[in-house]
Amino acid sequence: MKRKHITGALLTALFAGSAVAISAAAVYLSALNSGEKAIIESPARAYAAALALRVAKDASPPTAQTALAAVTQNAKALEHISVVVEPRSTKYRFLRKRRFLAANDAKRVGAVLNKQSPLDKRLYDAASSVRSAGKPLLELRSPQDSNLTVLAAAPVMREGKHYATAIVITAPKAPPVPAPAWPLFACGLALFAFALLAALFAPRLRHVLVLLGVIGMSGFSWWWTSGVSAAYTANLTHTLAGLQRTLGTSGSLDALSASPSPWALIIGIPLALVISLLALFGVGRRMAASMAEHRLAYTLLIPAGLGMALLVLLPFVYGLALGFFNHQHGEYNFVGLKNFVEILSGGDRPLSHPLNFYFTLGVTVLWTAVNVFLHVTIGLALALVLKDPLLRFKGIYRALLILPWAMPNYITALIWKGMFHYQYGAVNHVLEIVGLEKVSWFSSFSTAFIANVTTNTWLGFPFMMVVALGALQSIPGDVYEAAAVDGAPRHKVFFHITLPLLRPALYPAIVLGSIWTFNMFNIIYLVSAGAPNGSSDILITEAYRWAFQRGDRYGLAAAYALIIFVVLFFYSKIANRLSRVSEDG
Amino acid sequence: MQQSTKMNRAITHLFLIIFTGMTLLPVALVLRKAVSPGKAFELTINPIPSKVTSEHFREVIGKTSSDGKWLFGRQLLNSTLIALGTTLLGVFLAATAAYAFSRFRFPGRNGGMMAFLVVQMFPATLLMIPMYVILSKLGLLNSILGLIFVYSTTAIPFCVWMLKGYFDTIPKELEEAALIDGASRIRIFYTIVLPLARPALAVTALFSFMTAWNEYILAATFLNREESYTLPVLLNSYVGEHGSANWGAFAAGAVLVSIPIVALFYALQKHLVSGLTAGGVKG
Amino acid sequence: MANVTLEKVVKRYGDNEVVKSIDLEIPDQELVVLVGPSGCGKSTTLRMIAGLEDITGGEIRIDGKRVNETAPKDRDIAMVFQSYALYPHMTVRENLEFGLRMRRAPAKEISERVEEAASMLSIEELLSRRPKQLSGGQRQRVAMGRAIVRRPKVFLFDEPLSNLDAKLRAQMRLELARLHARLRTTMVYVTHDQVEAMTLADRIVVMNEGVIQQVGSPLELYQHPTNRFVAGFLGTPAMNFVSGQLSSTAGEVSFTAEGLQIALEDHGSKLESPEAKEVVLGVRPPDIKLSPDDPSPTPGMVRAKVEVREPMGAEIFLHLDSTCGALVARVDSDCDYRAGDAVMLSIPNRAVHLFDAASHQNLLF
Ligand SMILES: Nc1ncnc2c1ncn2[C@@H]1O[C@H](COP(=O)(O)OP(=O)(O)O)[C@@H](O)[C@H]1O
Ligand SMILES: [Mg+2]
Repeated sequence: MKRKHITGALLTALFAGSAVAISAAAVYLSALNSGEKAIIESPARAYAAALALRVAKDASPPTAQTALAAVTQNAKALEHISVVVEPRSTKYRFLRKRRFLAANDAKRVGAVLNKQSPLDKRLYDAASSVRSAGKPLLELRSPQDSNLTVLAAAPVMREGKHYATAIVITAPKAPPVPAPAWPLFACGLALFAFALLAALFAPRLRHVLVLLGVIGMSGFSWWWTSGVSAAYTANLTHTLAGLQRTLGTSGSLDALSASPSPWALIIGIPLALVISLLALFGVGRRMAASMAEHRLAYTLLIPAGLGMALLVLLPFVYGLALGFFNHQHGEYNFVGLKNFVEILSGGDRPLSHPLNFYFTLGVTVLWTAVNVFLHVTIGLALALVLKDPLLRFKGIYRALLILPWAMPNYITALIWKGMFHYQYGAVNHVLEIVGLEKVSWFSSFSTAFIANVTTNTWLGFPFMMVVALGALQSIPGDVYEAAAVDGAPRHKVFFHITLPLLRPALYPAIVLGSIWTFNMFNIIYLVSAGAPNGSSDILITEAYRWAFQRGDRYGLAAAYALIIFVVLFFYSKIANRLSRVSEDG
Repeated sequence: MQQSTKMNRAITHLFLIIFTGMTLLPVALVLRKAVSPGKAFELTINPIPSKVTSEHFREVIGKTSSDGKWLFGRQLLNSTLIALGTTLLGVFLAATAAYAFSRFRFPGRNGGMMAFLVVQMFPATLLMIPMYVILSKLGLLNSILGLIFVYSTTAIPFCVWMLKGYFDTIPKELEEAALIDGASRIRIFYTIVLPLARPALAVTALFSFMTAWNEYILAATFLNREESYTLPVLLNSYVGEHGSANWGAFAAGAVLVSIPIVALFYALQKHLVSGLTAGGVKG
Repeated sequence: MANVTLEKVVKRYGDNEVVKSIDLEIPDQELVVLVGPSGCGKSTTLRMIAGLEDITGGEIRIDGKRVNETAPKDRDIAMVFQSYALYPHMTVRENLEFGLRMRRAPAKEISERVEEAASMLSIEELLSRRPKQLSGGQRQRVAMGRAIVRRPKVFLFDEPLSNLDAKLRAQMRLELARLHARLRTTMVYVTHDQVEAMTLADRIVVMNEGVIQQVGSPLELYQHPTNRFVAGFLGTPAMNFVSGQLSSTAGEVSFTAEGLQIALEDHGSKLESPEAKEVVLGVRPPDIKLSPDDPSPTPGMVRAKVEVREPMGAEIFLHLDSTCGALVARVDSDCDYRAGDAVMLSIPNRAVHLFDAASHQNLLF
């Protein structure tokens, strides 16, 4: 058998296998994410809160013990410890001991907390927190031991004084997996083997088998999730009933109304289907053939491809995904398009507000246009002057003029920041010499913008100058001779000959330059730092601030990044089209 | 006629001298600050220092950490290693990929090239969060290697486009002749193609080096121990948001940091035009 | 020393079939020239022999051994490119040595062979120069030297002379012929220039649109082209063609066109089906006979007007306009017809080529 076929078979099998694995993983994750979390955590939290408050309200030892018993009986899914701790004496050090007032381990009632035990220590700390806060607290995580999460704690008041603290701790066991996932994986494995065998010995059968397997898989997945769903519902009902008995009310808690998220299935199963369809149409075999044929090319691409995939593409995709989440206090919540809506609607801010997206977009576009215009005009003008073969010292001029390009740009930015300093800056000094007023550069938008543009122009014209010089050198001299013979005046030569001939070289440089300028973080961030009030910020610094300076809003920042990307993508598409049109025309 | 061209030339020179002067002024001011005493910028644009001192250089170079380690040396070493590593790795990655794109027609070629172009448009500063997560998962935070990986991959797209453009101008027949002469593909790559692409390789190396040597934000985020800082991070600490700015030390540091990169830039600048115009910029 | 065999060789780029099932036998020691208009697939064929292009279908054998899957370096061939493809960053000597070095030849042998090739091509003084410092002709020699030092079984040339000016080209052509005489190695030579093909080849292969039209010695092809394409492609100036009908009356076969009738008594037996049909008559410019204007011409003569007279030195090309179309005649330099003169032209029976109007096949062959 030819090697090509074997590779093809392997790839097909790989496709089928990964299709199975993906759908299995999708189902498993969906169950784990919504089912387990809701079953384990939400009811437990609800219980704990209810219990702590209830105990705190009644505040007499027998009632506490009864409530405890009720909870223990109802909440079979939970392993929890509930205690009420004695107050400490504020007066006498030796009396600062806390005792159990009630506990689900009846033997310990009345005993002193043992500071050697991590559990007791945790209780002690929780009691201290509640005491100093003077109000009920929810979810106090122990930094050392995540198993000892205090879900709720409430002060017990007697005669207007802090008398005791009711505390509920869960020590969650390993979360019970809704149902074993192994049938799915076994199914996948079998399918993999089938696909492999069939691909090796009966190419036609392979297609049928892959399709059948995937259809079977999908059905099985649905059946399994509905099982998980049923178990979840049963648990929920049980929990609610127990709660009602404990609290003596008939209210429902919001935390309990969650249901398994369908997202993983909605994404996972179609993905699996698409992959198997690809396998069905022999993409695997064709890929193998082309991989064998172009082995060297692919080999050469592997190093860069891996690096890019890991450190550029993966972050890129992660960034895309992040745009649909909200990040707060270390937790990510899926919020759909909310971030984009917030940005694109201007976030309830008037158009003239510096944090309004459209304001920032306007500033960014203006910033890019002004900079690129200045870079090109200055660069081109210098190139035209320096092109003259009879000019003396032109090598020296050129070498000195590209110095800003060679300088690290954050140094440039900081230098210029210093030069625009109100008191000591060289710019104000010059103004004074000339007899003008000093300017407080960073206290109004227009002057801050000018400062930024000046810095960036200084930094960016050498690149355009070098590109224009290179392009000018490649224009054949006889074109100019012909123009001279025709008697064309100099400005006409420039506009009708030089400029059109320069365009092919300048065009990509301009597109590239505008992309760079659009995302020129360093200058804005270091020179004006957005002053005043963020008005001179461009999109990228704005996004940076959302991510790192205004409450870790990674999701919003990622949405900004995505919008920047879309803007630039369409800009370059349009620019490309324009350049093609202008070259055709 | 004669008179007017002379006149023209004089005006040209005057213009160039003024413009060059303006361009050099900020640099001159930094040089002056670096050698004059005091922390603040002085209120003058005269680039000649009135009093010369080496105190700022001594301060920057002699800086030690709280436990007495020599910081500047460590940071200079970090910066150098990172920049050299990035250059080597970046040039290697970009050259192999660019060669594949230039010489072979394989499925996925256009998509791949497009991807290399498009990722440039995604603001790199914002890739930081996911990069941070990935580096920490790989255990490469706070390490030279981590930054080398990050810098060389972020420099790849531009370098690949530039090199591919240059490789495209090397006639295919040369490689075919070598193939018939008995050289292997890999051998052809490094005995024929790479030597001929020297200008573009030089520019690629320069850009990779500059990327790594000059970068501040990522370095400041990924490195959090003073002795693993790079020079830009050190430099920014003199005029950063905390505390009062020490412009003298900053200027001295800026001079020290800029000298190698400017020297390298000038050493390779004669390739700049040919490398750039044959390559990426012409697309 | 080797022979090269192509059997039903096909090359496709996507759906575009560039070489269409070629069968060709290149005997040992012969210089075979592939000739045809540009874009007809000559280079592609040569490159398939070299191993630079994959073979879509069929088989290529060198010395009886199938080489379809063999890498170029293992085929023991050498190739000279139209652009010479000298390595610009190496000196001439390094260029010549490269192939031997790659094959790990001993240093002594390398230098011996390089010296020998250099003296054969008289480029000894150039050895330390770079290709950029050479003239076109010198580069051409170095490119040939690079092939020679390798002492391959087969030499492949892809239009090696077309970047030279006319004079140098003629000179190099001669040198190449000498080289072949001396080395007696199998050579495959691609060109679009039929003069090169005629002067150099032991055997010419005429190609058009990916198909071999005819294989044979230069003279064979010149005298007996199998079809109209070959007839028109070889010879300067090109053969004249006149469309007309073939008719046979009372066993007498004759060709008729506007104002022209030629009896084909000598060829009658060769024409398989001498019934009336559309044909094209071909006649080479030197075969056209001219006589002074005659008011009452004998049958077989046509009146024509001289439009342009092109003196070439030893001979003159006369561009004629007649009732049966524009024709070119080649006459001796002592002929004194001027532009504007009226002449009588006739086509001798023996010089006639006859092609089927539809299939273009030579009917007399
Ligand atoms: N790499 C290729 N891809 C597609 N078509 C090609 C390729 N190389 C050559 N061709 C086509 O094959 C035909 C023959 O080319 P070639 O052999 O170079 O002609 P020539 O007889 O002039 O040497 C031409 O029509 C050309 O366009
Ligand atoms: Mg050709």
